Amino acid sequence: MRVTVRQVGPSLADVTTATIRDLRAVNKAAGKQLGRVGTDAINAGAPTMFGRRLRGKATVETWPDRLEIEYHAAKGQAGAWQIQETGARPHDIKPRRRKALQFAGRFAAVVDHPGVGGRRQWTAAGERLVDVIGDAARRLYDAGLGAR
Amino acid sequence: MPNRSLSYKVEFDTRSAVRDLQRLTREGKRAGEDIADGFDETETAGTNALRALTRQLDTLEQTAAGTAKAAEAIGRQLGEGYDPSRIRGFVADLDRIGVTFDEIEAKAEEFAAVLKRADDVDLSGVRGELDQVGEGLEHTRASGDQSRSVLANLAGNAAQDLGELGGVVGSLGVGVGQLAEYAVDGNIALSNLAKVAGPMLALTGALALVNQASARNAEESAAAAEATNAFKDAIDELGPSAQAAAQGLTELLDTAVDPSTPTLFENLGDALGIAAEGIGELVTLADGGDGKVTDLAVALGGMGFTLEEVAAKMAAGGQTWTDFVDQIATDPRVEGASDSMRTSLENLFTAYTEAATIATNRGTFFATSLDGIRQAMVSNEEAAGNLADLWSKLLGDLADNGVIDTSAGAWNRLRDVLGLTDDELAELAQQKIDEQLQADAAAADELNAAMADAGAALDEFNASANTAEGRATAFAEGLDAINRSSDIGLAQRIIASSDALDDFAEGLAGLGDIVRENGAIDFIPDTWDEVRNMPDELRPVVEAFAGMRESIQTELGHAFETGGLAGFQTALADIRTAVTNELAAAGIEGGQALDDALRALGLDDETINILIRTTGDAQARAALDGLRGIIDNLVSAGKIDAQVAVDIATLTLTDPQAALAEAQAALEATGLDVVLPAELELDDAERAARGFTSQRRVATIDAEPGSSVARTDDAVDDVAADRTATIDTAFVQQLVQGLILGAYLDYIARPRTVSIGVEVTGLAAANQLIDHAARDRSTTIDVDANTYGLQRAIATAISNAIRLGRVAS
Repeated sequence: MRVTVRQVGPSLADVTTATIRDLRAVNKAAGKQLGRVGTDAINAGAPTMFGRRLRGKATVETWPDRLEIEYHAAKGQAGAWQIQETGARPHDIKPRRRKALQFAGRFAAVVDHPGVGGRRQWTAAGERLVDVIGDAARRLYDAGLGAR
Repeated sequence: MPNRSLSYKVEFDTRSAVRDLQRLTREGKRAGEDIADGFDETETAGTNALRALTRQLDTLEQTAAGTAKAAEAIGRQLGEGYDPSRIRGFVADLDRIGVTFDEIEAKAEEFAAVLKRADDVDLSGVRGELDQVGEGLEHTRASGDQSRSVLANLAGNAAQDLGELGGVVGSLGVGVGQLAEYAVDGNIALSNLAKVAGPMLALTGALALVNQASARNAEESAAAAEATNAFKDAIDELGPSAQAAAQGLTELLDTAVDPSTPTLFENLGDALGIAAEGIGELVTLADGGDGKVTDLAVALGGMGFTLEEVAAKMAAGGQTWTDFVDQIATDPRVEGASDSMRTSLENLFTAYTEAATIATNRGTFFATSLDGIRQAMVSNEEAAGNLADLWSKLLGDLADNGVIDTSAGAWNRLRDVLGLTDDELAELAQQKIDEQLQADAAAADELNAAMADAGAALDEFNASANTAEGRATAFAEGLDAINRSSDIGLAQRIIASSDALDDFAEGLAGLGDIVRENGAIDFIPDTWDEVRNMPDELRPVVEAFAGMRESIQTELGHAFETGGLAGFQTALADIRTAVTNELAAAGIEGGQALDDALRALGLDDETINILIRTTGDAQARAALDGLRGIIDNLVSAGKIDAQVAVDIATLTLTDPQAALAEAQAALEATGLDVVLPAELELDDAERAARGFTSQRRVATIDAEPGSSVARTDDAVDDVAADRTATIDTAFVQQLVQGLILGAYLDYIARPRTVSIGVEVTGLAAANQLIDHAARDRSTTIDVDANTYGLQRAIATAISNAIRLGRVAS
């Protein structure tokens, strides 16, 4: 009797090579989506200041073998987030572009701001981010690599 | 520019995953080569492979033919248009859970109906609780890739080569490691590996997920361990009735377990999941058990449940039996049923719940046990060598715990799970043992080669160590030591550096007269004062003696260089005779004057002994220098303890000869054919020594009872007890050199029991010593009447032996 054994389907090397290729592709695709998921988490429940809802923003950098996402305050809102996070000490408010300050129909050359306590809003946003980012990444990588 | 103080950075680094995958690729290739090599290496491996492959191919042929026939029969019932692959999958499922192809063919109509109904049931929720990885595995398993058995068999006997795979992917987590093993075992198709392993690899690269994944794995591991422990506890507490109740579902579980993937069926939920894919099969199968599923179906049917509804409840309730029970129990139709029906149903539920728990735990235990065996086979050669023991233990455990009944055919099923017959198992165990023995033999060969190298080096060393040049150098060093410490040497140096020596020559002429007139004069200055106050007329005497001494030393050195100790002794005897005669002619005969004269000439006993000792030390140091490399190599080879080498090195500083003896003992203990590396004796003595050591190590000191020398008594007792020895006379002559006897006492007295018989005639002091030393034996000591210093030499030798700890002191 003569027995011939032949391989059926791809080899282990083929599989790992394909997986590496897919892994690199996933890095690119997942970056944008993870940035969006993260900013959504930061924005959900973000405080409002002076009638504007504070928002987060993501900067995504991708390489073939890694992915880096930095979440930070949206443009022009860093100060507001800072105050929401750590508060502000008592300080004077002086006019910068006009001759006097106007508030509720009254004018003043200077206003004594009593200060405000921080409410750790950026920290809370970070916690929301951490809550979602893991599962989101898993989902995205799974999908990108063909998990069923 | 973002505010860096308010930012979160998330990195997903897949570099390590890529590296590990690349390593996995390499190791996989290497493992594949190893497997191929393994088959080529031995006929046994090749035969095994062929036999296993033949068996698997036979099975495949039968399965393929059976599947085709059964599928065709069902297909005829279902008519054209029904997905053939679905039918074949259904047949494969039936085959896996134990339904024979003949049965399928015979009941093709019923099975066709079951398949059609099962396909009509919405099973989308059955796997809802499974995570994606598990789903991937499930899919992979369900794919039933027929090639896997062949691949598994290929990998089987050389599976230990795949250990590296586990190591490579170890950093990726246990899950991937298992996947790799499954893949090579053929339990999942390689084409699906990426879909399962890929996400896990990526997850390990995502920093944010590592902790979560680790926690989840830890929880799962803890749950598995807990389940195993619970099972063991439960088994202990199980009574016969509970076991009987479990029998039906155990049968189901046993037949449902995929032999090649036991660990994938770790709970009854999986088994029920399969059943839910075709509730009809479950009923059919359970009817072959104790009929309780039929009872349940009848009971539920009586309450208005359809079979499809039951399946849907199972799907909605998740994987566990209790969830299913909850689903049914809360249904309004059950609540509205009569008390007797509800009671009947509850009883059924109770029985099934109990049975399900037992079966689940059994499944876990079963899988755990098989895993242990599998891992032992794969990764632990030693354990594999004892595979038969493990097998017996597993069977014993399983039988003791009621998991298998060796009298009811379950044993055969279990054996089939491992895919080994008794003969194959024994053969595998023997193969492992043979491999181990071969490895041991190879290691022994290697060691023997190292030892042979060391022996050759030793021979080479011996050939070079006993040269005239070596002896001359050693003798010169010995003389240097003598002269540095001798009185005459001191006097010489003082005289040479003295300002008041100008007129010494004047007194030289009167030397003979002075000697004749002052035979008893102490003409050897012992101190600086004596030299300072030495009569001028004596200075020429000192110089004359110094010159003669130098001539004597030159002569002795030459004799030693050319003739070794024997030549040295002959020359020494001749010189002493000549000097004694000369001094007698000058009027110095016996007494202190003669002793002084001999001392001045370096011919007194003490000086000669010191010379011998220091020469021996020098030669021992040279020998040790030569041996150092050999000893170091043997330490590296593990044949000499490192501490012994350190002790030898330390002892070299204070007592080179003892260190040499230590080194010889250490070398001897390695089993090398050791000869004394620094033999100072003549060839005949060497032959005697070799002949002696090659004898069976039995020797006797035959001595008449005599007086005591307590210091050596116990030592000789120890050395000579119950032994006999014969030493060639020529060798006895060399006993004047303490090193030889010391070394031999040391050498022969250590691990083996050898002693010395010395025949002595004359030389009363030596006779007395040895008489006493061996007083409980009969000793005849025969020694050349002219042999000098025997007593001291033997004492020194025995003292050496005592110091070296070779004999009790």
